[in-house]
Amino acid sequence: MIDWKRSISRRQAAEVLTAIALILWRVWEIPLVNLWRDWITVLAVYWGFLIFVENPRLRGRVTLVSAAGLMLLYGWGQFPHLLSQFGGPR
Amino acid sequence: MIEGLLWMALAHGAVLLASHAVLRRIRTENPLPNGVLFVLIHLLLVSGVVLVAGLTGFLRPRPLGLFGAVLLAALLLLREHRELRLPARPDVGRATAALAALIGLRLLLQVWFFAPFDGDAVSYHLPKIAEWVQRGAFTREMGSDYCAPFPAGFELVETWWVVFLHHDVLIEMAGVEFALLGFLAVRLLAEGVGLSPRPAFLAATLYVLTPTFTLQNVACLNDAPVAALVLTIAAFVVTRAHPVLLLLPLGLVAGIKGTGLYALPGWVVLALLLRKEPFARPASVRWATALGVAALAVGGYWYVRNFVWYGSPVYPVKSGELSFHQQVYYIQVGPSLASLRYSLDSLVSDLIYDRQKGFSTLGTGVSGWGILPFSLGALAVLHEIRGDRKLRQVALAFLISTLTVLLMVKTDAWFARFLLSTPALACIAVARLAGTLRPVAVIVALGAALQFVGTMLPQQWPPGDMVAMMRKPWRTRSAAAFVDVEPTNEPVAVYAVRRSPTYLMYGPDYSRRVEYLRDVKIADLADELDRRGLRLLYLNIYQRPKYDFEALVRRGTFGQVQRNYYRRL
Repeated sequence: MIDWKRSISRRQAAEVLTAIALILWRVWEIPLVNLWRDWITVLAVYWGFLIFVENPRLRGRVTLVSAAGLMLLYGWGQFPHLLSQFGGPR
Repeated sequence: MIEGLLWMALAHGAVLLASHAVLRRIRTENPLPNGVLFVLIHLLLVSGVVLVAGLTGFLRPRPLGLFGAVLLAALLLLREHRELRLPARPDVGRATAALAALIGLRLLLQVWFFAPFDGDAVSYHLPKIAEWVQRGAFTREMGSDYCAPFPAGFELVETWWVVFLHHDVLIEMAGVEFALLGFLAVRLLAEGVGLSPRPAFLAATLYVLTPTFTLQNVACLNDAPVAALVLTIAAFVVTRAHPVLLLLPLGLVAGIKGTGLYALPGWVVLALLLRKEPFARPASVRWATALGVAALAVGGYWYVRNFVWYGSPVYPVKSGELSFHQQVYYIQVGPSLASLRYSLDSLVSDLIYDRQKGFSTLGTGVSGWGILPFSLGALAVLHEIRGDRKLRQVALAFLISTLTVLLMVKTDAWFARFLLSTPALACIAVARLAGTLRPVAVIVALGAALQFVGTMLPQQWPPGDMVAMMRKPWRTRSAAAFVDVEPTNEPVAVYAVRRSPTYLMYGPDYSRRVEYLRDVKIADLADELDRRGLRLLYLNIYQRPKYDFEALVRRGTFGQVQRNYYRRL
């Protein structure tokens, strides 16, 4: 699915470097154990995936799974506040 | 009240018809921007009428209503009503239409059931409106807050909704009009980057659900109107509207809040990138130029006023030595790389998760962008910009705008409210992705439902307090009870250097007299009250001078009524 032998264009190289730079920034900024739930890191990894994978079906699946994962991550923080609006603990 | 309703109907009808008449003269060959143009013209006319009426002392129902009647008669004689055409039925999916209708209905219900409750609004945005409506003219008195002299372009539109009824029950309609502008601007922007009508409508609908944006629309705050106008500028740049048409949103946004101007560099860059594409000319460049100049005049008025009154067009923003009071409400002057660094880090490391607090009107401790831009929206932006040059250019403009705003505002718990236009990019990308990846619709529906539910009530107040306020009869509906400034029916003197919700003291029908005491020593307070014939004092000062005041209470000069209220004995 991923053609590693395929030569990459200059634009792709720039994209890869940017994604790597973003990950390095996050590695520098936050503890490694928290990296999996860091928004920027998830986006950077997803970006890298888009650069190398062109199969539309696989892209679609990964996009949906990533979106669902980010929704869970978001919900973990926000939902308690949301529930408090309807009588849950504040 | 009945007479007020009559004048209101006449004046509103006249300005709506006049807006349509003006639109006929500046509409573009491309029909897409005309909806946005109509709302812009209406906002400009409303602002202009209130501004002139305020300056000339005619800010009362009858003069404004009579003006409306004359204007309406003239327009009817000119047969302008015969030119009215209902807008074409939008091409929109059933689910999107249902969601948009629900949002619209909810906004109207919130307008009716909410009374102004936000701390900033009732402390420094709205007291000036209460003074204007009571006096029937603009006043030098605008309340005791340090931030009261800021530009009041949004307050002009709010005044339009309260002056006829002499009551604030409909004051939030001003924000609803800007919500409509934001909706139309995002739809135009989406169509400008190549989306077909259905996904463009979806993008606009999702944008209006942005938590802080949708809550601000009914909270008398001006960051959402600024975002709507910035998005209008963006949409005009993308659709290559004639440069003179850009003066309309530019003038209006300058008159509402300077932060709107901080977002401009991104759109200037985009205009340069698109410079080879031809402009869409308005029907009459002369009319468009006149309107643009009028918008700059309406927006620029506040800067001229502040220069005349305070010696600085951007007062109370100032650099150099600051008093303690000024430091408390310090407003950053000029660019700061430190602010950019700290705010950006705070935004992407913390605020974007919206996990510290619930959604509130100021977005305290959160980005207030919601679950969709955080999850699917961010992924969709990356997915979509890789294959579309124009969307990539627009994304670059959004990025630059976001960074320039962060460069210009200080890092605090509320700075994300200045970035309310940014989530529009995510909404456009989501709508675009949904067109090619069908299962995305499930995530969009779930995210939209959560954002809708999460923004039923602002979460900065306990829901019970909000519900209790909503249950009050509309004539007496006020947030005073839970903001703790429940006034009595007698006139009140305000002695406050700390932020105080003084708007609530006027009452929802502006029937109560509020007087602000300035440059009075604590020891002279009793004499000052006697001189003005007042008995009730609202006191909100720092602890040190409060010790001095408490000595007066012990001496029997004043007696405490409730928390911050004292009675002259």
